Amino acid sequence: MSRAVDSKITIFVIAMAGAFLILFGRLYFLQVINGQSYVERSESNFIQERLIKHSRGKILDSDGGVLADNRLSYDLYVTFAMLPDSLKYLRALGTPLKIPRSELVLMDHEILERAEQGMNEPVLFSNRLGQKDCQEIEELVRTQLVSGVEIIHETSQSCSLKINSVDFPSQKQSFNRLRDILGQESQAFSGIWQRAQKKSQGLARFKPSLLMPDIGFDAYARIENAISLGMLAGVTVVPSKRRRYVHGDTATHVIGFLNQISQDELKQSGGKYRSGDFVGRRGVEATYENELRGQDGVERVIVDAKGRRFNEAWEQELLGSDRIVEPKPGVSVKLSIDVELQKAAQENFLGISGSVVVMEAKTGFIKALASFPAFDPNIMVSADNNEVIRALMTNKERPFRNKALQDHYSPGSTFKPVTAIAGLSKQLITSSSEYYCSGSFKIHRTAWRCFKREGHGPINMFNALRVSCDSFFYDLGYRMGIDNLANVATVMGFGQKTGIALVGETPGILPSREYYKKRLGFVPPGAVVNMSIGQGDLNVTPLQLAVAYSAIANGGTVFQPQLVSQLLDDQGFVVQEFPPIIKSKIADSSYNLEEILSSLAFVAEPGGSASGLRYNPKFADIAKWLKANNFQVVGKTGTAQVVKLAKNIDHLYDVEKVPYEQRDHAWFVGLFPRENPEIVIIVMTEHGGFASQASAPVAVRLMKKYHEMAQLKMNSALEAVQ
Amino acid sequence: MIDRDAFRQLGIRIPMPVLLPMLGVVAIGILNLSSAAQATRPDLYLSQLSKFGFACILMMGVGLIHTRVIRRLAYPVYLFACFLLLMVIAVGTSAKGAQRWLVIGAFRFQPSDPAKIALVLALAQYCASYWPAKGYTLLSLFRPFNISRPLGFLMAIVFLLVRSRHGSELFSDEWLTSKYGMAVMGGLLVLGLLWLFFSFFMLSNERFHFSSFVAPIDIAIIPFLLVAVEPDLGTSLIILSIAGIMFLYVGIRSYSLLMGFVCLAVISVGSYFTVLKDYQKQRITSFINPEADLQGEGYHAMQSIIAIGSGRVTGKGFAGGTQTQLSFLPENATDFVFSVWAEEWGLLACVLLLVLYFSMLVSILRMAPRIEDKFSQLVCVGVAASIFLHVFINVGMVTGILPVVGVPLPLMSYGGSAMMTTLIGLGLVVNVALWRGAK
Repeated sequence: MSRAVDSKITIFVIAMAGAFLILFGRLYFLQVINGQSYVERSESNFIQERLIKHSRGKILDSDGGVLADNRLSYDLYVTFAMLPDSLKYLRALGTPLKIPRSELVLMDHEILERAEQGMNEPVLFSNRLGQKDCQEIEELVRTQLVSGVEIIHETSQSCSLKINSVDFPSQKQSFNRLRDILGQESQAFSGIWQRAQKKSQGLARFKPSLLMPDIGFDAYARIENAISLGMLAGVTVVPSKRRRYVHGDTATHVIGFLNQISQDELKQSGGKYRSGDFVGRRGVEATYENELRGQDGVERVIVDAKGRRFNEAWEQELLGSDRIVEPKPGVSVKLSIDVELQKAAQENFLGISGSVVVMEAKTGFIKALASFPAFDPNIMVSADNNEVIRALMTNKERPFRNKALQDHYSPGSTFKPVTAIAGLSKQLITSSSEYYCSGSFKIHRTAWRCFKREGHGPINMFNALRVSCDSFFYDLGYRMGIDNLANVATVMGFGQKTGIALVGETPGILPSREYYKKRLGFVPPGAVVNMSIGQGDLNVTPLQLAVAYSAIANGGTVFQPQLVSQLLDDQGFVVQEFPPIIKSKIADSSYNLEEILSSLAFVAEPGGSASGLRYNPKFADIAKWLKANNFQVVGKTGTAQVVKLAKNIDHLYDVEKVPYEQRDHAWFVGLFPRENPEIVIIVMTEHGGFASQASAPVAVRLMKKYHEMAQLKMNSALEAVQ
Repeated sequence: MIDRDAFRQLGIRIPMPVLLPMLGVVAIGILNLSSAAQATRPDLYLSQLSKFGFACILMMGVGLIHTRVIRRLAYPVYLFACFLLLMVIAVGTSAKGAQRWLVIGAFRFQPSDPAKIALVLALAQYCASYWPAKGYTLLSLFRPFNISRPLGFLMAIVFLLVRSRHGSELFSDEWLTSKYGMAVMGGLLVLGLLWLFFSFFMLSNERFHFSSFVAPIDIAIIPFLLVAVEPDLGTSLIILSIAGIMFLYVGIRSYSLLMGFVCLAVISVGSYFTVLKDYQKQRITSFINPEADLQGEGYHAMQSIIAIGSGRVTGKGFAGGTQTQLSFLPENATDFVFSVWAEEWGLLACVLLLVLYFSMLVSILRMAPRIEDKFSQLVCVGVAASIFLHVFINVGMVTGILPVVGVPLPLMSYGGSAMMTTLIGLGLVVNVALWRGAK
């Protein structure tokens, strides 16, 4: 008997040992084999990374004036779990009166409905209450500050209870108050409300969710006031930073704008960006994104299961001293853009679409760069901008495009000086060698017409440039051949990107031998003839033209155009300075670029292609300024044909009769001052018709502005000396 | 009543191998509670200490009562416990979807705790009285032709018929008055009457005694059902398992044992799809895949596993458990108290705790063969089974190898009625040790 019992107990003990071994095995598996992974999971439980935000770097103009900075934006957040719950209050009132729950739910529905319609007269909650109940309810209303409850004493023994739906705390009430403060339409606001509500379901109900960004200071002040009066529980306004473009649409295409980062970019960024971050799009905002953005700091804190921060002593102990990564503030970018000149360029532009470039001839820095039509980048960073952006995207004038470098056009006559330089450098002509213009140029049976049908007669380079004789350049181009012309044009920066710090630049088209080989398989003999007067397949960007003319103006140095002169840290100290970048040189001792320049000084003189500037009453201001200072305009007009209508002479005299889309693009290249030019101005007016009327006045007015600014600066300098 | 001889030998008869590990576990438990409840109730361990003190007095009291008295009290205690369980269903306080608590004045407790002790006592008494020489067969365990079975069956039919009069959901009035319904009910009635007749026949063949009315399994089934309807699945299964282990100790014939296991498997699978409530099913599914339901039931299991795993070999140190102190671990003073220990002290300390439990249980079990008295043997086995099942199920559920059912860890979890139940059980063991040989 005892032995049988003994063996039974042994079996029990062994079975129990087996069970304990299973437990040990499980513990070993969890704590030893997988221990490290659970350590990590527990850390991801309680360690929360909090961002230390900092401001994006500013964008400054050449004088250090602010073009883009950051302003406070007041963002409205709602914590749905914290909004007043009418049912909860009803229950508090109904429980001592022993009103069943189902009845309270019905009453809640009625109150919400009446609150929605703004019905002000009170609903009867309960009547003929005993004295004791009355006192209890009064106490409740007083202690819990329930508004909208009316206690009407009928007799000294009984009272009745009424509820004013509009004043009674409910989610609907918060909705109404916010809607009124923000001045929103009921329907639109309820859409916004529901979207936010949808996003904050489950545990997210306890976290503030963004209802409306950037509500403005007025609304902020009124909401804060209401919150302080206890009228908007669960509502918070959080200030954040938002980009501000101080001068609106000035230099939009240079500055660029910000936009919210997309999901794809977020994945590729490798943790540098977070959802909802703004990232630079286009302009300097995009090219200098890394410098401007800097790096957000991170503070690692310990939170408990409800997301509340735990004590800091423990944080030090568990996370060590490196729990805080200080933010790296963004660097400010100082542009070479002169905001006054830029504004003048944008104000004076006469066309609808096109571009203006003002470049320092001796450094390559851009003083103004405008593309038309422009738009205000502030709308890109503001809330609810979908409609405006859609309108901009579908605008057929393509406002987002920077036409100074993303579009290319046939340069027309503005290219002739390049052909001349090529002729001089290949020693095919000298400044005095003559050619007889008969009104056309012939190779075998093909003839190219000079714009002057009767011909210029004997003509040298100086005069050919002055009167823009086509035949002279047909002949010169044909004699030097496509390779010589293409080589010189390449050295002067055509057919390649200029390397300006903006995205999307086009190289244009320089029709070299390889180009034709690729396109046609052979080089047409007439190609170089067309190219020599800037026609044919040759296409240039306004910026390329600015680079080439600045080389002519400065004695032969081809610069890389630059926009950014300095990078400054958040204290204003210079981090990096950008010197002028020389790409190549064209001049040699065998010829003098001065001669080409002086031949361009007759453009506004009698007989010049833009002589209208002197006598057209529309441009009286220009004529007056030229006369007063005894200035000559140095420049070149050019026409880029949009439609081949050259044979039909009529349109030349009445631009208004030609449909807008078929009008020629109008070029004007201006150089200022006459001696030793400091700036090159390119004006490209798309469909401008006559260059002398559409583009030349813009350029000359910019010269005037530049001159006035220089004088002002000189005067103030003189005053300072005295 | 108190035997002089026993008193003299008190010193040497106190079962130290049982009590010393118990004191060790309680000390660990109180140390652990002082860390676990730091954020919520920093004085909880003092409350637990006072409860332990009170329970110790109870234990000593139980130990000193003459075994004969205890044996006589076995059935009355059992009936009283069943009465309390009925009271819970009638007037109990509910918490988290189950009605488990009985409130008497300022005192509230779970009657399912003392019911386990009562079950051990009653079953020990019953089995000691009707000890089958070659062990139980299924027939002798269940005794389907006891007179109580057909009587119960007929009463159930009548009960259902009466309830259907008051709009029961089981049988509608129309169904009962239809031909089909009448045929079925009539058939059942005839079946019941035949069963009754056959039972009378069996009764007249046998000698008339107590077991003709009460089969061994009945003693386990009654508290099992009463706890299961609260509902408290964990505890009710523990009650059934305690009875099973005690029957195994008495002996079950091998063929019946095999059949029993087969039936058990069929019933447990079947009941999953029929009897179990949604939240109980959810516990089982979230046990199989805790990651699937991280907001609900699976969250608790997962956080507990993370706590245990992240403790590694040596733990995070006293009051240094991030899962515990930052409230990621749920119920960290009651059901999940083991996870706190595992997180803050690591694997080595867990092994120490398990070894203490194991040595205590082995010491209790090893007392059985040295006692002639079958009642005392069964009490030892029953108490050991109860403690073992609690430990195994609790540690199993917090480590994620068993579904999360609300079973506390004996001597470690905070709570008065569990602590008292465990110590009364140990008091019975002490009693057995003190009074062995006494008639």
